[in-house]
Amino acid sequence: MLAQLHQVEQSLNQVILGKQQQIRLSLCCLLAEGHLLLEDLPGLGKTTLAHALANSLGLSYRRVQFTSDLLPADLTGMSIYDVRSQQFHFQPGPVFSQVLLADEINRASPKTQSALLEAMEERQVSTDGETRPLPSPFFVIATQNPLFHAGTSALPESQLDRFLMRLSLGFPDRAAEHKLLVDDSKGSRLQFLTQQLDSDTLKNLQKQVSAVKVSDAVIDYLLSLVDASRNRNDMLPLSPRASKALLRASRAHAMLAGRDFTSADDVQQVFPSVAEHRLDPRSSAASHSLSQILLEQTDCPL
Amino acid sequence: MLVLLSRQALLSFYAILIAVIVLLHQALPLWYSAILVVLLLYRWPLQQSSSKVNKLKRINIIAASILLLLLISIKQSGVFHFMIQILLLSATCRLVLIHQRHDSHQLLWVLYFLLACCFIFYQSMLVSLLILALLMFTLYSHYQLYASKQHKIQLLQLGKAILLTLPIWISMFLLFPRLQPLWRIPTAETAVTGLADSLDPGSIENLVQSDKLAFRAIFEDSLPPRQQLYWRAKVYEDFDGRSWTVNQRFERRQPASRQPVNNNVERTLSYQIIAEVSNQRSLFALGMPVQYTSVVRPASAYLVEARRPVSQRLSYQLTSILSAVPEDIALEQRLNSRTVSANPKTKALARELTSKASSTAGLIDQISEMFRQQPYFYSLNPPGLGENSIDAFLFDSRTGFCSHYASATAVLLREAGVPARVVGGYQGGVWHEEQQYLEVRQREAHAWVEYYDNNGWQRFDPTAVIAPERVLAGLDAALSADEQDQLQANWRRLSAFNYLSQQLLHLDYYWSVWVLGFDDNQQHNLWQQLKAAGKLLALLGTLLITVLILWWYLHLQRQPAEFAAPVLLVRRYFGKVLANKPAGQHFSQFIAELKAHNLADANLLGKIDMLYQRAVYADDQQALLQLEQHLKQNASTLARLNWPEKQTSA
Repeated sequence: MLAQLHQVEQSLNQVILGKQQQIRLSLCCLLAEGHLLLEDLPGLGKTTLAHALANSLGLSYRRVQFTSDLLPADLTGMSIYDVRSQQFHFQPGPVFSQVLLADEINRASPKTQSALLEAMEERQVSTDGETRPLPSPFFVIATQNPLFHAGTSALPESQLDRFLMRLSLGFPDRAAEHKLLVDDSKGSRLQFLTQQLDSDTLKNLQKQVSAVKVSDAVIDYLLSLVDASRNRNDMLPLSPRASKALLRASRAHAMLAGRDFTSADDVQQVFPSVAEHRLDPRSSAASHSLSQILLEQTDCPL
Repeated sequence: MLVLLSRQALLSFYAILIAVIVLLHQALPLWYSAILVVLLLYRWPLQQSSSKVNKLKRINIIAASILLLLLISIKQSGVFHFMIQILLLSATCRLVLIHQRHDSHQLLWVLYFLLACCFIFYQSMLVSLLILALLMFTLYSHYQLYASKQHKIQLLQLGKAILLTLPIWISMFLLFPRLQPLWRIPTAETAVTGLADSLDPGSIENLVQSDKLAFRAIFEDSLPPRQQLYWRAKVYEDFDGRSWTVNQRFERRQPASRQPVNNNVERTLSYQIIAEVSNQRSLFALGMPVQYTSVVRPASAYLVEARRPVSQRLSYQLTSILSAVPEDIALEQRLNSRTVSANPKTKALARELTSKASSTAGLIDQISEMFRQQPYFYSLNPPGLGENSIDAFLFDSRTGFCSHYASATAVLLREAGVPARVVGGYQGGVWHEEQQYLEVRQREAHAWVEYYDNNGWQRFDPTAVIAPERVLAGLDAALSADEQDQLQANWRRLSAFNYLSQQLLHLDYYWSVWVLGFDDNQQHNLWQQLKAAGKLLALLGTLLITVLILWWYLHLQRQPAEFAAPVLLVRRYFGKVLANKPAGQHFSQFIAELKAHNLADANLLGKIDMLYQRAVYADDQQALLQLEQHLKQNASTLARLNWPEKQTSA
């Protein structure tokens, strides 16, 4: 199974060139059953990565382009009156899928953004007084433009907190872009993608993540990182939800590295993507300044 | 850092400084206190940014002129008072100029010193407590300058700090050597109390109306019978027909120490006396003192006196023989045989009595018999006597107090050719069984007679003949109810108040015995006792240390180890190189960097890293053992690992 996972990673690397680190982290995020937020300038491959992830994991996915006039019902679905049977039928919205690609999520109104809240955390949707469970697994992969771009409304802290990781792809290096341009004439890069996994395998993998061993020493180190954020006033404190997310992501990272135990390195690798958007919701995804400060200043005894 | 002083801090400085000025008023001339108060009033607008503040030049000129005045008056005040005056001047000027927190340092230190100086003037328990309270308040104000705003915590922390320093205070008190003062501490010019150098008819009557404490006595053995408790304080040898005075015309030699003549016969009596402030030199002793502590010295006629007037409570130890006092100088007999020809009737009586008696003892018996048989009365309020006071007393009024009887008897004896003198002092005292001390007040003042017979001055107390209760049970028993009322002020009749003041006196007694009485001797004794108990103390100390170590060990056991075992292992074997690891870096990352600098050992380091990771992250005991093995085997290699010196240019 781990081999399959590595194949997924390889093929993703063929679609998004020169971004091994980000691709590993994004896989991490999905293995840890967390939602992923991709933030970047337009044209850097956010949507491509989101597509590729959904595709290669073999999950049913729906894509919603968020706009300022998007209504909550457009996401969750609505009940429609059927004249023939003289009854209301619930017409499920795009949220009822295994992967929801929320493109440019920060262009939607706060009302619509928060409609996603329940779906993301509870993995269920309540409409017309009825609660409907979402399929499993369920991921939200959202993309957004940097905050300073026109026509954006920032995600509130509460919603940011629900994304396990926030990633930024950034510009490709020269060699990767050269290759991109050369290959582009040969057709879409998505052709490299084939379905590598099915949802059952993914579920198994997610279960295995929980089995990765974490020693007390690593948990102590993780807690001292979290504590450090709570004793400072130049950043928001990390919540217990954040520390749980951090631990889960570290485990997934360890599994992707082929180990059955979590090391301090795993924690350090996932920490910036997990913590930065919680420490400072207004920061851009490319900067890791606050989390770097914490990593450098917190003594790692291991 | 510029921190302005709060109004509250300024007010507390004011309060402390004014209290110190009041306490030290003995050292300050009145005009000087007035100047200090005016200076303080000058700063009264307590705003930090007052326009009057910070005129350093003006204050300097004022201080210099005051200093000049003080220098001019140094002759009157003495060096010691001058120093206190200068300290007060500096404190006051500092307070006048004070502006920010930094300024208050000098002020506070000077205040601490001045508060300590207060103890030179006051030793009584109550004032000491007041000074201590002031000290606490100063500490509190000092602390408040730097503390945060929570009141309760401040007090708590201050209390803790004081508790922590308490053992130091106590050990300083117990162990610091009692040094002689570097300069003479001047005595205050206050009223002389106690028996005066002259004994007028009526002077003792006035004295016994006072309830003031004269001294306390502690006996090494049991209390001697009351009839023996004649505390000699003054010997009056000159009689001018009306009053007796201490003879000062003859400079008497003062032997350093007198050896007891026949100490094999008499029983000696050792006792300690704590004399109250009297501003006189004369002290109190029973019978013939033979051993003295260094603070007192023998005086004429086997009296005891202090080296300088008693301006502080004085404690001294004496050993006496309760016998007749021998002759001090050869002149003494002649000195005490002088008569004045003012009392013809007395002269005739003396002649008559001498003819009847065969010896001096017989004469004394005759006189006793006369006082007993004829209607003589003992009274606190005798009628006034005319020019020939002795005649008037013996033949007309026949009513008198102890001094009258003593005076008359002495004159009578002198007329009969027997050397005699009047001795002033105290008789009896109130014995406190529980506290084991004798309290002697001014009301125990007494006068009696000494006549020369059998190679010594024999005591004869005519009062004991007329009013034996006075000697056996105290003054109150010998007086009528009216006279007792006269002695007792109204407030003293309240029993509760009486009880309270008595308890306070007892407390004061313990204070003077344990705190004021703690001198070189006591200190020496303490050392001796410590030495004697050395083994026990060593045992206790070892026990204490053992308990502490045990407690520390258990404490250590209870706490989980700070680091996991592999971490400790790696730290031990990698030693100094590990100091180069940045705080946030984990060990494996560091190893990777270390490999780059130590290519030769790369394999070893890789192996160690792998084992370490398994041991610390996967809790793999096998790996831990292997890791330890590897580290042990390659300890010398690991100690030689290279780490490039940091480039200074970077």
